[in-house]
Parts: sequence; structure tokens; C-alpha cells
Amino acid sequence: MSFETLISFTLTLIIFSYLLRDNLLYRLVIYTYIGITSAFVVITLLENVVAAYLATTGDTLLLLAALVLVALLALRALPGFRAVGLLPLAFLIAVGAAAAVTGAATGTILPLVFNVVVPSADVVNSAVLFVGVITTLLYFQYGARRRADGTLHRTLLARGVGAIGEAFIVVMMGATYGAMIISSLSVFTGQLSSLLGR
Amino acid sequence: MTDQLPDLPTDDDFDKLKDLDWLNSIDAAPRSEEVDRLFGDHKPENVHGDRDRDAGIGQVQYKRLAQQRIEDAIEKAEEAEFGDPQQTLDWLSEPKVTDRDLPDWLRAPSDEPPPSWLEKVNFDAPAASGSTDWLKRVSSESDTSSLAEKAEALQKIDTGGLTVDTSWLEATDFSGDPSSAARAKNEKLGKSFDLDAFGIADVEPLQAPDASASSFEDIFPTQGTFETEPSAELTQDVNSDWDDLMRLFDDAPSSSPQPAPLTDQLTSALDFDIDALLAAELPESAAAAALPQPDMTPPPTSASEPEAALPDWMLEADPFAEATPDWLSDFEQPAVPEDPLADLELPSVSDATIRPLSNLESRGDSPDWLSRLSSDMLPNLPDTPPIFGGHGLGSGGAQIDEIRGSGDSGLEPLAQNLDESDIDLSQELDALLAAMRAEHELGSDQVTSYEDMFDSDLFDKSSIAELDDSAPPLRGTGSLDDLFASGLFDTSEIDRLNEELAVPADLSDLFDDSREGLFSDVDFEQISRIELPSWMQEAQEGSSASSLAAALRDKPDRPLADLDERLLALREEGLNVKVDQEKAEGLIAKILPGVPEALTAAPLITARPELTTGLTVTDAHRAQAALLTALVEDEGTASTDRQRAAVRLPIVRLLALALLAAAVVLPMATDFNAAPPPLAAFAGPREAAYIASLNVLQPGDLALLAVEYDAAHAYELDPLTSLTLNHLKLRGARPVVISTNSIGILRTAQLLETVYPDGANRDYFLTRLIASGVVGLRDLTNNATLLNLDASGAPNGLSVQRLDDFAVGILISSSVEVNRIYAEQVVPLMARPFLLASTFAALPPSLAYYTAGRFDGVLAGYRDAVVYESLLNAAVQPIQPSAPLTETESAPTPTPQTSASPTPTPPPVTATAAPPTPTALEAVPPAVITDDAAADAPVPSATPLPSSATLAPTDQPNTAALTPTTPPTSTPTPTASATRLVPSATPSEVPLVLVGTIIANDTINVRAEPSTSAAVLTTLRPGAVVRVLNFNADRTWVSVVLSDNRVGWVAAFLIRVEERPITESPFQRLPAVGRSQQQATPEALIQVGTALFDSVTILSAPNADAPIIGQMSRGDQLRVLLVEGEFASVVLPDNRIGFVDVIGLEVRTRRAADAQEIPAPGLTVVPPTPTVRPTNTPRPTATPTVTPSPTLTPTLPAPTVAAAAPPEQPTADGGPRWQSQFFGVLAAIGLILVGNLYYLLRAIFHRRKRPV
Repeated sequence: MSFETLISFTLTLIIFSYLLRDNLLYRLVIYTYIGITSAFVVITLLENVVAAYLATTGDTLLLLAALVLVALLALRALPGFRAVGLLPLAFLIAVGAAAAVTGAATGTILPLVFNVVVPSADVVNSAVLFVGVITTLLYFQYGARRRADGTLHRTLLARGVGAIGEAFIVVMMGATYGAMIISSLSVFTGQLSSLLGR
Repeated sequence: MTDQLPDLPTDDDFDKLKDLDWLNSIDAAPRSEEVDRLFGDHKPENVHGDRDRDAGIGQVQYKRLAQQRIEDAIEKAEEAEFGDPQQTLDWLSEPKVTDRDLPDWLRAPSDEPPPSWLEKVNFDAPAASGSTDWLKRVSSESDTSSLAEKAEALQKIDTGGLTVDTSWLEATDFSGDPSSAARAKNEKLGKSFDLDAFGIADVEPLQAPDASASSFEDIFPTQGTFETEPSAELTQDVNSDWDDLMRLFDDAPSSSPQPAPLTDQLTSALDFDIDALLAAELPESAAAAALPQPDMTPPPTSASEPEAALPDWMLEADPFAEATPDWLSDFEQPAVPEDPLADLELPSVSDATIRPLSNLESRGDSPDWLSRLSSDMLPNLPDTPPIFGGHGLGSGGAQIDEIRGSGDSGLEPLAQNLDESDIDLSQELDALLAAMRAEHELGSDQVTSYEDMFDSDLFDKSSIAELDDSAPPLRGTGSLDDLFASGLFDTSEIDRLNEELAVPADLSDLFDDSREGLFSDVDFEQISRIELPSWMQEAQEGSSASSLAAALRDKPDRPLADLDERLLALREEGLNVKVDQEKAEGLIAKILPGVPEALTAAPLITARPELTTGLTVTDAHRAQAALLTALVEDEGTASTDRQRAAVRLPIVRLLALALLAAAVVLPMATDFNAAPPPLAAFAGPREAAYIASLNVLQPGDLALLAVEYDAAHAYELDPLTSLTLNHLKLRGARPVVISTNSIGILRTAQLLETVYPDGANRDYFLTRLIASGVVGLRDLTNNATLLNLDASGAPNGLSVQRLDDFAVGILISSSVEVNRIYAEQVVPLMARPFLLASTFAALPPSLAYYTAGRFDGVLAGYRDAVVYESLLNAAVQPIQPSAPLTETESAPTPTPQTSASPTPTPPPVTATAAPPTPTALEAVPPAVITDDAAADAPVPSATPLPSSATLAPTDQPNTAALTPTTPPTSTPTPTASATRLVPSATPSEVPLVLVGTIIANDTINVRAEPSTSAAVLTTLRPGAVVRVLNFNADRTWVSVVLSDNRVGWVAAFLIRVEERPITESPFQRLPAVGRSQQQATPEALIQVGTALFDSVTILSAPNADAPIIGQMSRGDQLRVLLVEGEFASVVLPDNRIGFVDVIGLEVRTRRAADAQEIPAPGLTVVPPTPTVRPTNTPRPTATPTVTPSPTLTPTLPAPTVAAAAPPEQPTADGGPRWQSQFFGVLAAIGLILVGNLYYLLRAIFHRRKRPV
């Protein structure tokens, strides 16, 4: 067993010690991993983004604007300039939100809606998809009325339909849970295979 | 004495006493000694079933009974008609009394003469007593007209509730004609002089004198009425009798040796007998007159408005039905600036309930009804609040009792003592009351006025007996026990209740219907509906009785030795109420000066709320309190729990871990391989679409490869990444790697170096990190030129302008979120197939994007990686991209067209139709499909092209030699001795095919004919693998099959040709229907062969002994790749290549657009048998064969891709990791099932055991 394998085995064993309870060694390994990852991310960002940008860009004005935003963001560390640091954050969040919204509309919502409302060749699949989407939406309190005492009341029909939607959600959550177990086992077996050379 | 009448207490002073008593009687009734005294033995104190509840019940009963008795007393008191007490008081206080100052009751009617009989009264007769001076003045200064009027006036004397029996006057018949009606009226009114009230109780009752009466006894009848003016005769008699009366007074027989003069006693009684005034049927006016008046402030409106002063809620039948008394309601106003109890741990009590008694000091409009209360209802408070100068009324009350118990009459020894002593009573009173006045003015706590007042022994408390004329005098006692004994109250119900409650009973017994009569008459619902006064409701809602208990906790009602067990227990409980004692006492002392010392705690009531007015603590409250306690538990407790948890080993968890570890490790560490092997091929369309989309790549195509996973998922996704890279390499495509994950880039860089050694910026391109996630990806889609730079920002040789320059996009991701972002930001802007390789965990939510068409193919997890590896190994393993160039196969003339750049040079799209040639290559469609043309084509749909469909039978003997027996019919090539490739037989039973690998360093051209002057069909990158059909005659050119099934010619020295088993050939899966063929070459010409016979056999190799892989019926058409010799290679619907004897086939040229319309209704395809792994171990299973019978009738439906899919059969054992993965999943599922079953059973078991 090579030295690297021995280190890997030891760290793996420490990670699995979390199954007993949280402990110092586990935290040490986790923090080490996080620290190394963070350092690598920083280095990568500096090399791949900052340095690459500085090496290639010819747009000085754009670079200057970026530097100003970075400087403003750095001012957040000073108590008296926290408000100033909100400007680049607001810019980033706004741009990100705009991109996310438009992307969600064109990449997720519209295709899914199209698939729901337009039956495909597989009638059964289309029907299941339609029923699942509708009942799941109804499950989330839509159609509930609030009584005078503050409680929500749904009709028998709404409850029944909601139960179907809940069943869809349960199936989906169960599938995700099972898939997570399989993924975890894949990682585990991969690690073991690497350690044992199998 | 009258000249120096001292200042008298006012109603205010009295109210202070009554207020306290009232509060105590209401809120602390169960613990109040006052109530105990009030009810004596009649209180239901033996209810022990539920102490708290009993307290509530007793409280209600006490209140009811007290209310009833108070009402009775008030009713009787109101029947008396007395004059204005203040006026009387003023008159008595004046040093010189004038007629003008006479009280109304003494003043004769203005226009009527005084009664004549009064004129005859010898006021000077009792000259021995100076106290009769006022009567003398009355006699001399008043205008008394008649004896009858004076007698009537005397009748109206406000004696402070002590009625004077004047019936003797009436019986004397002053008018000589006594009216029976008037007598009856007076009898009804019950007005009489009670000498006992004047302290002469021991005087024998005087008999009513009749007309012949001549003695004192005759003058004082027991009963009698008068209505009219007495006659002159009688007046004369009266005058004589008056003298007798005076003498009688002086010589009246009594227990006292020297009885005090009647007038003195009368004066004393009128002036100072507060208790008598209060205890008897005393109207508030009389009480006001009898009380000391420190500052001579005129009494408040209560004296003139007696009815209005009585609280409404007391007047109601339901004592709790109405709100606060008016005088008390004023205190509900925000007189207290802040809630002083807010900081108490116990719930606060509203201001209306607990308020500074100092406020009460200034009250002048105290309720009159309080003045009507008996002094016995005053609390015996040894610790009087400081406002009473530390001299509580308790001592006074004790003295009262002492007086009562001293003899038959308390005033007799008093009067005697007074007469015998040298005490100047008036001076003493002056001093005392002056001190009291000073107390009020200065607010001092040191004044002892009340104490001294009682100490003066001027108070007679025995007059409570006068509540009922018919009752015997309560001589010597004065307690409420005597009241009950007097018959004034109907105590039968109380007696009965006590009898019932005397038996120890629990709470259930109280409500047990079998215990007849116990609570049968009690309407608990009605009790629960009792409406408390608003201020009490606020006190109940805003706080609880516990706050009051905290306020009253330190007040002992009675010595502990006198308390029974129940009261001791209640007291203990009250003392155990956890409060911040110091803080609570401080606040209480601030807002309730004296109260903490004066009152005791009320119990914390936890019984049914409808029976109580106090705090109700339910189980839900206790649960919430326990939860809060747990949440705010101190660190010490928490650390202790942690220590306990540290000691306790998670046995169940360890067992589960051990089982799971054993299931995973054992197959890995041993050769245990009981798990079923992985599938030989993908069964689902999404996996097959992934492979098919890569299979259509042309050499030199660019593939956008996004690697988005970190180290945690490396062991699951690294295989998929590696396999995808190998597949791309196999296809000759070049990956351009992008990522928003630094770790992903790191992992991919390592894999790229493994797959493409030293191939950076040539075989693959690793671009720089994409920052900012969504924003960065959106920026990439808008500016794809960023991909032309490497990680350091230097040009990488690419000239990408837009994402559509990529032939395919591939995302390898471990996150659903990343999958969504790519599906939203990148995929919609890229008109190319986009594939997804995901972790198994991220698969379920991501499948929605596959269903929606965002991803054209999906692979997931380790399982798909195993299958993918199995398939790819069969094709890739023999291929060695770095294999050395075979120099022996150098071609002479053709010069390959090279480019200076590794970037494929996209030639212009030329779709020219070349005239067919008579050569064997005439069938090659002249259409030239370049990479650019293919790139411009629309995105191919995720047509399920299962790679499994490309698996060829493997169980056939090695007869797959490409041996065209028939030379081209009209070949232009000088190949009379055309070299034919006759592959050598191999030990393998798998048919062999010719495979060529481009060994040039640069891109080469594929030409339509074996000539450098021929048209360039396309280009091939270095390392590209193509299927070889044949060589030309001089072996300088090699005919190859392109991905779109066209046939082109490549210079022989640029390609290495080798034989491979067909199962290892990558071309067995090359789709015959690629996107180029589908969309880019609609006008291209292809060859189509039509079956000429009813049954035409399709062989797997151009050999008559080759296995039969299909059967064509007459008229069936298949695309023909090449006709060479006796066989024509055809493309089966499952993209396999078969060989058909040209005798049974008519080959025609058709447009490519019509290729999909080739009818083959009778075509029968034998599904390929599963391939074996490169071990080439023949499988013993029999190969399905179709007997080549000409009479075979095509009965099977047209083959489809799905039909062509091989059955899911294992390929091998999968290796140790596969075994470990299988048993690990099995163990995890078992643990989950067993665990859930265990918890389910435990929940059911505990539910059954849980007490109801």
C-alpha cells in the first residue's frame, strides 16, 4: 500500500467515524478538505479568471469598471462603508436574477408546460404527467379557504386531489432518496476499489 | 362633653377598613379568617377531594352566603327611616344649639306648635347629670308644641341603628283615642326603643303603661303604638311618669352597683358606639355620624344618596353579575402609571384588583354599603397596613369580643369604670383624634388613633344581635355563630352540606350522582356562567389568581396551630409557589403597601375552570412549560445530558454500519461474485440516445464538454467522464472542456491527460473557469469566443464563434441545480444535441429535462458507466490511437491534402450530383457532405439508436473474410489483378471486418474516387477510424465507409488497415442514419437494393457460409453501400451491415431524401446475439438461424429499433466493484426495510401500552 493510499484510507476511515458521532478527527478532516478546496478555488480563480482576463482583455474601460466594483465590494469589510458595498452586490444579484428568470422561463417552465398540455405519442405517460402536475399543484394549498378561526379548510374534492398530488411527491422524494443511497454507495465502492486496487 | 365634641372619623376612614375587608372576603375567602368567622362552623371546609377545587367551591359558596346575609342586613337597615346624620352630628357638635340648628327630626314643624306633652317634660329632672343639658336647651329653646310631636320626634331620633321603643308613648294614648290602625302601622314598622342599644340592656324591659299606669314600668311598655296627640289627661300622667322615669333611671336596677346615668350612656352610645352603629341595622347615615371626623369634612354624597352608594353588583341577586362598584371603578382608570406587577414571575394582576391603598386614603366617596356591614365582618388583622398606623383593627376586634364576653352587657362595666375613674374621656378623645388628624394630614404611620379608639372601650360590638328583633339578644358574644344561632339565617342547607362534606370524599364523589343531594341543587353551569365584575374579569384574564396569591402570600390568617390539615396543605402549597421572593415583595410593597404583610396567598387553582375564578393550569400548559424548561435548560444540565449521550453507544447504528460495511467490503476483498453481472447493453432509449448522439460525430468535430462535479462525486462520475472522452476520441471528436467548478476542471484535466497524452490544445481544449455561475454561463452563450482561450488566457487554436460550432454538448454533473442551470442557460441557445451524464442522486429531477427534450440522452451513475464501459471496450480496446504508422503500406501517388492547422478546414458544401460511373464505386453518391454541412444541419432528434442494436452475433465461426468473388463488372481501375483482401482466419469465431485508422498527423481528404483529382467528400482527422471496404488494384487507395454510409477513397499510406472481429469494430454501431444523411443531404444519391425473390438471405459477411442475419422478401429494399464481387453490402434497419448475394438484388440509385421511404415490409432481421467481451470466448448458446428457404414468407412485422434491441443479458461478472455495489445496495434496502418495520412495530406497541 502506497503512502498516498494509506493517507487516503486513513482519511476515509476518519470520515466514516462520523457514523458514530461528531468528533474532532472528523472535523479536522472536513476542515482540511474545505481548506484545501477553498485554496484551490482561489488559485483557480486567480489563474483562470483574473490573470486570464488581465492577459487577454483589451477593454481597459471594462476592466476599470470591474475593479471599481471589486473595490466597492471590498469596502464592505469596513463598518462605515457597508452600504457602499451593496452596489456591486446589487448589480450581481440583479444580473443573476434576470438571467435566472429568463432562463427558467425558456428552459424549464415553457418546456414543462408544453409537455404537460401537449400529449405525446405515449398516452399513458402524458396522462400520468398531466395528472401528476395538476394534483401536485393542488396539493400545495391551492383552493383552501381560511375560516374565521384562522384554520384552512379544503373541500373533500380538494383534499382527495391533494392526496394524489402528495402521493406523486412521495414517490418523487422516495426515488430521490433511493438514488442518493445508490450514489453514495457508488462513491463508497469507488473509494474502496481505489484503496484495494480492485 | 357636648361642648367639646371631638372630631369624628369619617366615612373615608371607615372605607379604608371596609375596602380591605371587602377585598379579602372576595379574593381570599378560602383562606380568610374573616370568612371563617363569618360563617363559623357552617363553612364547607371538609371537602378534601380536591383542595384547589374545594377552595373554589367554598369561595363561591362563601360569596353567596355572605351576599345573602349582607342583603338581609341592608334590607332591614333600609327599613329604618332616619334623618340626616350629618345634620344631627353638626347639631350635636355645636357648643350652643339653637332652634335653627336643630336637626329636622327635633325641629318642630315650622307652623305647628311643639307637642304639648313635650312642654310638660321636665328636662331638669335628672339634674344630677350634666349630660342632659342639651335636653334642657331643647326644652327651653325649641318650640315644642305638643307631647305627641315630641314623642314622635323622639321616635325619629337617629340612634345609630338602635331603634327606640316609643310604643309606651303611644300606649299612653296621648290623644286619648289611640288608633288601632296606627298601632298596627307602628308594629309593622317595628320601631321601638331598644334600651339595650343604649347600654342598659340589663334594665328590665318596661311594660307599656296603660291608662292607669303610675309607675315607671307602666310608662315603658314593651309594645304600643300611637298615632295622635295625647290627651291632656294623659299628658298629665306622662309628666308625672316622666319624673318617675327620671328617678327610675337614677335608681334603675342593674348588675352595675352604680349604673351610669342614662343620659351619659345615651350620649356615649350615640357618639362612639361605632360597632353598634355598624353591626346593627345601621343606615349609612348613622354610621357616618357615629364615626370620628378628623377634619370635619362634610361627608360625601353617600350620606344623602344612600341607595346610590350601594354597589349594583351587591344589589343584584347574583353577587357577581355586575361590574365594579362605582367608587372602585374609578381606580380602573390609569391611576397607576405602569403595571407594577409586570416584572413579576407570576402573572400580573390588573390594576383594578391590586392598587395602592394609599389611593384609597383619599377616597371620600366610599361605598355606603360598606358602612352597613357588621363590624364582625371586619378582618381581624393583627398586622394592619401602615396606613392604619400599625394598629390594626384586630386588636380592637379582640377587645370587642372581650367586651362581649365579659358579661351580659359590655357597657355597664364601662360606664361604671368611666364614672369611677378620673379619666376625662373627652380630653382623651380629643388627643387621640387630633393625633389621628395629624396622621391624615402628615401621612404619618405612627398615629394610633384607631387603636386608641378601640382601646378606649367605648365600642360595643354586641349590637349585632339587633339584626333581628325577634332574636334573643346576643349578650356577651357578638360572633356570627350567634347570628346563625339566632335563627336570623336559614342555615339548614349549610348544615346539610356540612353533614355531607363531613365524610371524606374525593372529587369524584362530589360529582357522583349517587351521593344524593350533595351537589344536586348546584347548577355548575350556572356557576360557570357567573359574570364577574369587569375588573375581576380583567384580573382573571390578564393574570390569574396566582398573582394575587403572590401578593397575599405572607399574610397568615390565623396561627398555624389553629389550621387544620387542609389549610396547612394549602398554605404549604402557596408558599411553594416559585417566585422571585425579593423582587415580588419589593414590587408588591411598592404598589400595595401593607398588603403583603396583611394578606396571605390564595391557592393556585388547577381544577375545572368553570368552577373557579383563578388560574387554571391544564396538561397542555404543563407540557408547554416542560418544553420551555427543556429549551432553556442551563448549561450544566445540557452538558450532563451530553455526557450521558457520550457514554451511550449507538448499538443499532453500529450494527447497521457493520452490516453495510460487510456487504460492501467482502465482495471487494474476496472473489465473491454472486451478484448478477451488468447488462450487456442499455435497454432504455435515453442511454442509447446518449451513445447514438456520440456515434454520429465526425472526426474533428468539436464537443462541448461541461464537467461539473467535485471530488465527493468523483468516484461516481469519473468513469462516465473517462468513457465519454474515450468515445469522443474514438469518434475523432475533440472535446472542449468547460466548467464552473474548480474541482471539476482539476479532475477533468487529469483524465484528459490520461486519454489524450500530450494532446492539450490539439486533441482536447481545456478552457478557463467560468465564474459567477448562471451569469458566467449566460455570458458564455452570448460570447462563445471565450472558448478560444485556454486557462491562462492564451489562444488554444480554436476559432469558435458560437455554440453551434460544436457538434454536440455534454454535461457531466453531480447536481440537479447545475443540470437545471445548463438546461436553462445553455441548451436553449445551442441547436445541437446536448447530453447529460449525471449522478444517480441527481437523476430523478433531471429526467424532466430529458422528457422536455432539453437533453437528448442521459446516462447516470455507476451502473450506466459499467454498461457504457462494456460497450465501449468492445470497440475501443483494439484501437490504439498512438499506434505506429505501418510503413509497409505506403501508397505511391496520392498526396494527402493537409492543412496547416489542426482545426478542420470546412470545405464548402457541395452537393453536386456526379454521374454514375460504371465502376464499382459508381454507387457512391456523389454528394459531398462536409463537416460544416453537417454542423449546419438541425439538431438531430434523440433518435433511439441503441448501441445494442449494433451488436453482432458472436457465436459464428470465423468465416467473415471479405472475399468478393466477383470482380467489378466494369471497373476503371487497372486492377485485373486487383488485390483482394482476404483476411486470414482467426481463432475467433467472430467474423472479421477491415478497419482503418488515420495515421496522418494532419487532416486528410476523403475523395470520391481513388485519385487526387477526385472530389473531396470530407476530411478525416488523425486517429479517425473508418471501416475499410477494399483496396484498389495497386493498393494505393483504400475505399472506406463514412459515417453517413457514403463510400470514399483515402490514400493508403495515410491509413492503417487491419482486421478486427466485427464485435470489436466500432462501425457495427455506426448509425447508417446520421444527421448528415437525415437533413443535410436530401438531394444526395444513394444506392438502394430491391429483393428480386421471395426470400433473399442476408448474411453477416460476404461469404455464403456466413451466418444469416436476416431475410428479405420480394420487393423489400435496403440501402446498398457497395457492390463488390458476388455480394452487396446493405444497411439493415438496425444499422448493421449485411451482405446479400447480388443475384437476388436489384441495385438502383435514388435520392437520399427518399431513403427513409424504402419499403421493406417483408424484411426479417434476426436479432443479434449478445456480444462477448474481448476474451472472444465462444458462448455455447446456439445461434438463432433462419433457414434460407425461398419459400419463406415474411410474416414478421417490420423491424424497429426496439425490436432490434438485444435482450438484457449480462456480459460478465462486472468486477469486484460491481459486486460490492450490488450487495451494498441490497444491504441498504434491507436495512431500510427492517428499520422501518421495527419503528412501525414499536410505535404500535407503545400506542397500545399508552394509558388512556
